[in-house]
Amino acid sequence: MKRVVITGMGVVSPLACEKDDFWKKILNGDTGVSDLTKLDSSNYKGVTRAAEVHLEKEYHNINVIEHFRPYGKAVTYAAAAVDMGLKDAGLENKFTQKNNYGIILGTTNGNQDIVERIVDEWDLGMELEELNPEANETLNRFRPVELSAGIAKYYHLGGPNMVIPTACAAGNYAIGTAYSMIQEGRSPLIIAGGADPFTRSCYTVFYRLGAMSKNDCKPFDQDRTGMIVGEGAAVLILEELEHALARGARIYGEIKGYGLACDAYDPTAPDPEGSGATLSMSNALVSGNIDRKNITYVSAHGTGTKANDAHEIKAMSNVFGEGINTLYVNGIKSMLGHCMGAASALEAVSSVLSLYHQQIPKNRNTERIDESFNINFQIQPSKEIEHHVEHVLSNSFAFGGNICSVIFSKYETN
Amino acid sequence: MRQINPKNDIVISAIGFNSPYGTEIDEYLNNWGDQPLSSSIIEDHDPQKFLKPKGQRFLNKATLIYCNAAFQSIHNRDLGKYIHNNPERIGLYDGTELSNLEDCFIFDLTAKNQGPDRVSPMKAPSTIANAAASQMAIQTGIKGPNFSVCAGMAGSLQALDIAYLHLKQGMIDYGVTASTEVRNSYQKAIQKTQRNKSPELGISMILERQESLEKDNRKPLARITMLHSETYTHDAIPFETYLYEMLFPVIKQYNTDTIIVSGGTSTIHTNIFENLFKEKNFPVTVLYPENKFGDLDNAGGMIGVAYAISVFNGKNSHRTDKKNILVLSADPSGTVIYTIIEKNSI
Repeated sequence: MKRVVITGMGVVSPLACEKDDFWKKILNGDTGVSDLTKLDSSNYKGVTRAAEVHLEKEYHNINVIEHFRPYGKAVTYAAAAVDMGLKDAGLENKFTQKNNYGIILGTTNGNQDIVERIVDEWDLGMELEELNPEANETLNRFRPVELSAGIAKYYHLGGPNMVIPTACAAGNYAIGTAYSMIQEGRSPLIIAGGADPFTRSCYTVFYRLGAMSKNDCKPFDQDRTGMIVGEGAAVLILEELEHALARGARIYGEIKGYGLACDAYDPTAPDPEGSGATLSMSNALVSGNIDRKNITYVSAHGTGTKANDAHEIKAMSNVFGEGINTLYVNGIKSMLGHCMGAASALEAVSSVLSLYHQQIPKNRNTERIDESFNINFQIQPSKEIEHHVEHVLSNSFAFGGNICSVIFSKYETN
Repeated sequence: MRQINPKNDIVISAIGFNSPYGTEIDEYLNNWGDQPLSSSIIEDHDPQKFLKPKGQRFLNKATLIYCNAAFQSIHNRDLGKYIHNNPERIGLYDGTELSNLEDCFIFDLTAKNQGPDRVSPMKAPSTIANAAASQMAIQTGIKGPNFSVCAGMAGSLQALDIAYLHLKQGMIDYGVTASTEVRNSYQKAIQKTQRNKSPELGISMILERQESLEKDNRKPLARITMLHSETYTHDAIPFETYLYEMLFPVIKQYNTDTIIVSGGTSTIHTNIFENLFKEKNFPVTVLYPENKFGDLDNAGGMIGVAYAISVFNGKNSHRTDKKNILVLSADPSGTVIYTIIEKNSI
């Protein structure tokens, strides 16, 4: 099997729209959570917080912005992340030669903002109306494939392209799938990650599920009150090792394995026993041939909801046994909000930068582990693991029980 | 001649199907294409009563049709016991594109016009395109990879490809792959450019290794020899020329004389495409099932594979003495995928 390394990254997030700035703010424990500006919050009964992206304030490639303006926001976010990722990887901004480089992107809401653009612009009512030709034209941009194919066309990526709509686990799904395809020799380079726009529908879903915090996201904390809806995009440039070495690329880290599983339990709630998450983490360890004792820390899904965090800790306990007592569990949604399909891709970037810089993000807002877990683990990194980051296991869970865990590892030449 | 490798060869072992004209795919492919459609709507999404009745009212039609088609293929392959004993070794795959479009509109229209408190949270999962495969996992207890994928009109072949990849890498023992088409006003708005309207339908296939099929003394319907996907990005070359240049060496390598274009036929100028082969005096017949059955969109690729199987089985007016048929899907976005389907020769 071919080895798969990470040679570039691009970030569009509520914290920052540039990788190095993103990493600096993650290490500082800054937050991208603030009061909602993209939606009138008056109907949401005190739920007013969001983690919004303001791309055009921070990213100034007008060609990308203008080209993708008719598309959904997720496409623009992803296109900007790809632009930054390709530059970071030292690759051409647009490929001129025929190639079989691919792009695989995950998403939750995809181009739902196109639906909302039509509803708002033509003031649609509840009765089904025939859409006018202009609205029809706009609606064509709803097709999820526009997310990957639109970007593939723009950057001349001639290999496989697809969108994986497995909700909040979608970024990891995309990374895992790209890893498998490169391993199998289907393509030497695939851009993989996730993207999601802020939408009224998404905010409403989590509001109606009673899952949103009115203040801060506090993963695993005794006093946690829920998640914060976010948005954004992140991509990894994944390369077959020999391809990366041949062009003298900087190597940030390596993917060692991943696991997929399904709770098969409920459309929105996780299995309280953590069956799918246990299976997914175990599959990742087996596929990477990595002993659980060698996992430096877990980059948790950690949404800050009662149900998610309890089931994730239960699953980690199943996988790590007594080893969980000394295991550091990191949850960066406290800083980024829950960026949906982009969430695990952003967590992947954080994990890979942690491996590359040998620094570990601290937890923000987590002060006291929920006593109901009856399980202890480390909520801040110890001196033993600081500067000794070998393998990071990154979890992602989604509606429908779709689960994917990926293991990112320090790049070793042998 | 290619050697059979039971441990590595991936085969199609069962098919499930649902349409306004029943659940027999051979009957559908043979009898219905030449007749005018009296209805394009599936009235009974689950005639065999596979689905649990509780909660069905919260599921969208694509999910209901997906589950029925997937249940049929599981039933036809007799996988119930295996699922019970090894739920983590089976994957569910959905090639989807617009399955959630109507739900997205209704959800947002309610939130905007009536306020967020009038929105049913039970309807939330249907706004995400992973609803169908996720619901099937809940219905059956399947705990392996649960994978929805969008690739436009190449969607169902892309789902087959992911299941194929997972089988090749040993992640699963069986891949239950399905794709659906539903009809509603919002989809009509997107599909205005299409030439032929197809009926609603669902199709499912079980993929597995030759080895597991042999253990059960069963014969494959066909073998999947390879799958390949690309993106057409260089507008300087006409799409048909790009397809010809991509396919020509594959057709020669696999010694086939039949191409089935299914999923995205309307994106190809068929005369130009066929003339490129004629100019080279290359004897190939191109079949377009969508010209008979209507544009099949993301489900087209899998229908094309079923069409290839019907050719191999002699249940089709087209005949070939070759062992391989190439099935192609192409989306207007430039997303292209093809597969080589090999006749079962065991």
